[in-house]
Amino acid sequence: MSKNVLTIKIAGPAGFGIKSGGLLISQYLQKLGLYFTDYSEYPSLVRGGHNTYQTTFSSTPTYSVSQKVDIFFSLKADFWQSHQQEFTPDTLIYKDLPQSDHPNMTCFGITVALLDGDIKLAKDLIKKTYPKFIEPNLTSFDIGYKFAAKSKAIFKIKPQIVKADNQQIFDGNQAFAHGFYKAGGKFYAAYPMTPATGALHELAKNANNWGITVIHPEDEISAASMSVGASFAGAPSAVGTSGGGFALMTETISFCGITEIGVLFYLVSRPGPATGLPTWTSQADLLFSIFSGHGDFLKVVIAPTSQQNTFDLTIKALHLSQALQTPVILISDKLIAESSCSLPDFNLIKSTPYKETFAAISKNYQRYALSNTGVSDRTLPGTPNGQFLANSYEHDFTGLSTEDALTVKSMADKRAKKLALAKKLVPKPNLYKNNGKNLIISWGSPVGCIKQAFDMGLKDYDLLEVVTLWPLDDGIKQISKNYKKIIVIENNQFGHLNFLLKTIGVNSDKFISKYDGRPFFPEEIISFLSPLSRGDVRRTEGFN
Amino acid sequence: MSEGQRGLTKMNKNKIVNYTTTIVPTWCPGCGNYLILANIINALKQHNYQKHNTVIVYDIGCIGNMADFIDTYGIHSLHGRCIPTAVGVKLANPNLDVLAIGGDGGVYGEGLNHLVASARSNYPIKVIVSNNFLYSLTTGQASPATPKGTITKSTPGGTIGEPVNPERLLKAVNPSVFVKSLKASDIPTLKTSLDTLFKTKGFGLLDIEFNCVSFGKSK
Ligand SMILES: Cc1ncc(C[n+]2csc(CCOP(=O)(O)OP(=O)(O)O)c2C)c(N)n1
Ligand code: SF4
Ligand SMILES: [Mg+2]
Repeated sequence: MSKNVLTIKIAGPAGFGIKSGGLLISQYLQKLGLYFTDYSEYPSLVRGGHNTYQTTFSSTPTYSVSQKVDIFFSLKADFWQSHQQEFTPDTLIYKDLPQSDHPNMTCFGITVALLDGDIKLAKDLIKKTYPKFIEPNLTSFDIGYKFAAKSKAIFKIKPQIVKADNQQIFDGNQAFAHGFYKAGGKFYAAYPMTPATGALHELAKNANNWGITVIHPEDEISAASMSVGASFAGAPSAVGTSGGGFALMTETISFCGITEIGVLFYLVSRPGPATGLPTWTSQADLLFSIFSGHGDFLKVVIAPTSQQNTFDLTIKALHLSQALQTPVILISDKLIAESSCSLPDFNLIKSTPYKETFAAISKNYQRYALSNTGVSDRTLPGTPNGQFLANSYEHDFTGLSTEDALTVKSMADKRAKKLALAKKLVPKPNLYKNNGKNLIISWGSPVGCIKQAFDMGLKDYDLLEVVTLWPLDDGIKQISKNYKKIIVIENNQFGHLNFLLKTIGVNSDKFISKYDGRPFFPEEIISFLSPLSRGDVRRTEGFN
Repeated sequence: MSEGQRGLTKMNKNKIVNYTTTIVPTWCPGCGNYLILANIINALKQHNYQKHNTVIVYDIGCIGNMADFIDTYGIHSLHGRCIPTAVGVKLANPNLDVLAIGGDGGVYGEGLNHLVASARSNYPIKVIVSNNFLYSLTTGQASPATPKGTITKSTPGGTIGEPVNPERLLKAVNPSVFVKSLKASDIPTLKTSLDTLFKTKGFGLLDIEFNCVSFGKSK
């Protein structure tokens, strides 16, 4: 059998190395020159529970994992049962693996045999990954390889030779960390919170090499406050968290607004409310992020759709926070942040720090002077005669407190002016043509899944990917007029973008939602949109 | 900047540096904050703190209003957040001289977690607390430093909590930090303690006590 896109899935209890073993398989596939996208599910537990890892790979780029699985490994005898709807008549299901010390390596061995793969490459990878436990891992690998060799290589994917040397595997959190570094980031503070913690780990690990100060402080309020102080002192700064921690940071977002200090907030969503589902995925923090922080002020909210896009948009977002001197929120989710794929090696990319113009000091220097764009040049502490007050109270042009009605209004107007500049600088929506009479509008992680559905044959729909969620692009309405029907797809219950679109006069005909902590799969998108299906299509009760 | 380095870039001693803005302080007549302000300015002068190389982060409260009166780089931060904001400034640019100034409400209440954490980490910032045993800007409710049993607008039955004792608290947290409580009216001690604080290399906190003229309870 020859297929162009294959999916392997491993299920088992935590502690069995499901993710590490799975990632090794993906790494192997990547070294073969294949593209892959992975996804793992795990409960908020350190041991036990039901963990899965799945990887979808192909000789052409992949954008999301498929729901249907071609090879399935159950590391505990009964774990396959809850996955039956993911099987097709052709799925190879390994319910009982041969006995070994490292069942995850046995899965690897089976995979290599099934793909008629390169054993040396596989073994070299094992040696590199587990230098202290080479023998037992190789033995478990061999057990698997021999077990499957009997069944002959039944899957053949023609590897496309991408220059494997320049490819690396990154998840979204690592992509954020590398992007932050390449954008000239100098200060990062974060309190651990799944699924954003990976960014803290990646930055802390590289802090010395990259010349970045990385702090894990006492709470998220402190993380945000420190970053504001650091940014004031001249270090391009960011914080990272999930919804609960972001809630604690909202006072700082407001503070950034009035003091005009740029900070990047990396918000990685998981399902709420409250502690919600820590290790699952969701897009239900969009409106909260847009409306975070009390008072009227400009903020920018940008959402990446993939790991590569996270890297690119992190650079853009940090620079925007500096150019606009206002908080910028990069909103991602578990699906992107904790899933990996093969990407060009970020280490080889040139860094592009933002070139800020600082104020020329004169006798009458005013930090908050009125300007055409609303942005006024600042000075950094250490600059003689440049001292000013960054004031959380309303202030005059120098920063000193004021309650004078005229000044209050002109300062508010000054800050609001930045909206026009923001609209010029923020990333525009992307339109993907696919012979569509109808238009899907989406944002963030579902975009990859929708593209994968296009690759799998979904027709009649074009896709508009909204990159900047705030301020919304004025052009969206014009684009949507060219289509018969508008369908909005989001991984949340109430339809956050769906609601925002109404504010610019775009009323969707259908809203497709999913809010069980699981991401969309391309097969689902296809079935929701097929003319026969009534699908999981909901009219929302919330933001109508 | 270390003390030694500062000596090299010392300002011309004969030049009188004016550390004040043109804003006239708005505190009640007789308020202890005037004493604190005057002595902080003295200490800045004595230790040759340069206006452009000094960042003072103020909390919210009567004391926080000092932000408008001193002419250095400044941040008038949020209530309770003067310490983490100051830590961020210092970490981003260790050459700056960084002070955090707040009230008993901000530092021992809303921001207590930050106080404990920054003392544990011994971050090299200097914290000055104007301790009037009350939330004064909000017209006199109980603070974490209010003596037990005190009747205030928010505690008509008398406060039930033991007051925070900053010396005992910080010494328990990290014995190596400098911490001292004193009366604002004790000018000689105020001067020498500020001197010690300014010479402190790591984390230091001066807790300067006085009774609020407008809302204080004379016991
Ligand atoms: C988050 C927040 N909560 C409450 C307030 C209101 N508030 C302003 S000052 C203050 C208390 C001030 O007490 P203290 O820190 O002791 O300063 P003092 O006025 O006594 O000098 C409060 C509660 C605020 N500004 N911000
Ligand atoms: S209310 Fe109390 S603390 Fe505030 S200025 Fe007046 S006397 Fe000073
Ligand atoms: Mg007080």
